[in-house]
Amino acid sequence: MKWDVFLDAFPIVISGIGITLGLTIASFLFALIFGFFWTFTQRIPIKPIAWIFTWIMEFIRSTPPLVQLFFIYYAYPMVPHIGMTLDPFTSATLGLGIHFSTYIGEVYRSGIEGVEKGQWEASTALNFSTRQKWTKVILPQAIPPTIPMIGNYLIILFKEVPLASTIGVIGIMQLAQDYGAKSWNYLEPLTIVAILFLILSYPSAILINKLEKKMNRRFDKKEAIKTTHSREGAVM
Amino acid sequence: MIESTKTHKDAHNSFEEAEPIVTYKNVHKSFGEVEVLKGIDLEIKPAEKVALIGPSGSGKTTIIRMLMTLERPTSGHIIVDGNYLWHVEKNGKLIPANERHLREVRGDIGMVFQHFNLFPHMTILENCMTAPIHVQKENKASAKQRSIEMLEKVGLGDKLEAYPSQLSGGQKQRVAMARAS
Ligand SMILES: Nc1ncnc2c1ncn2[C@@H]1O[C@H](COP(=O)(O)OP(=O)(O)OP(=O)(O)O)[C@@H](O)[C@H]1O
Ligand SMILES: [Mg+2]
Repeated sequence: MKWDVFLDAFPIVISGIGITLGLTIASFLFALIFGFFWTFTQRIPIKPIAWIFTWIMEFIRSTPPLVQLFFIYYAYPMVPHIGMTLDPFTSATLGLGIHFSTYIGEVYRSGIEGVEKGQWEASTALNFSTRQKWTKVILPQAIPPTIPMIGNYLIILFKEVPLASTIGVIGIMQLAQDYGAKSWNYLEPLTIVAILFLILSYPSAILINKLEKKMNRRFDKKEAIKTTHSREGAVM
Repeated sequence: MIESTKTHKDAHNSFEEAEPIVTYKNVHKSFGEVEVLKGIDLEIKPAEKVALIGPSGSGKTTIIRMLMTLERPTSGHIIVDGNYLWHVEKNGKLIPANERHLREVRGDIGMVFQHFNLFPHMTILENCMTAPIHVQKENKASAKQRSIEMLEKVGLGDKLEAYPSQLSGGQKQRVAMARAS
């Protein structure tokens, strides 16, 4: 490791951090919103239609994000009628966003299914409209327990963002590669990329871990009370 | 409507003349192959208190759940305050009711669930005020006022800000009663 090269490369590589973080946030927001679409399709009462969407989700999930990026950037413009050329950042946002939305949709689904049937019945008994059932009763209970899982997907997505350099999104990865190609020093710029990812992912992982513990506690309150009771019983 | 295992039926002469508030006419209910209710006929007059008794699994909850529109009768009719619950009359024929009709007729019926089904993400007070505010569109201050009075009446005036997970079974039941009324 040559320190003068390291110091020379550092400002160049770090100038791409805005693009890297921007792409992470944009594609994650897309995934969060589009995830609801998948969840909705899974609740369509006409089973064959729901199955078609399940199959599409499965397809997107089992093909590599890299292939999807290439498809959107290179192949989609050639599709007759609906095809159009998208800039690299938009393509990457769509590609990563769609890929991760299938996971997020699954997370939402598990959250919603985790809400007891009795909660739906109580809100029917109180004469809530369908919309009110969702906004006042079901979603406020379904979403919080999924937050740690959603956070994990954010970190995984963040680590997939360098893929976008393959279609010309100039984030830290692309800048490091360019620097290496020009100066024949790859070690320093790539080390910088690794360090940047580490200092951004690791604290987030710790934060999510904390959140997860907090959520578990919240839903364990009842258990905690029960245990105290049985302990008293044992003493007597 | 409260489920009770106590036998108690107010027999009072004035009930004889009054129009029934709830009528079941030959109501059947099957779950798959199993017929749980085999032709229920029932009339409940205003202010009458009725207890349904029977062994576990005999269909008491099912009878009440149909009134709350949580379970659809396989056949027969339920009439609430002169209106068909599950049907609407059109050109002299009865056709299945839509969700809007169910909401209208269900409006004044309350239910305390066997497992209470309180909303765990809301405080006791919020559990009681949410329907008056969002469904009956009562203003917030008066809904809050009424809910507090109701909860004080059932002896939970000091638990307004507690969450259901912090209550005992009996306390939960009382919240469920306050919420249903
Ligand atoms: N959703 C359902 N699917 C299938 N069977 C059901 C369903 N709900 C109730 N049953 C069956 O219908 C019968 C009547 O149930 P119900 O809950 O009405 O009994 P109950 O009289 O309230 O009993 P308990 O006194 O134990 O509360 C039972 O045999 C039960 O297994
Ligand atoms: Mg029962």
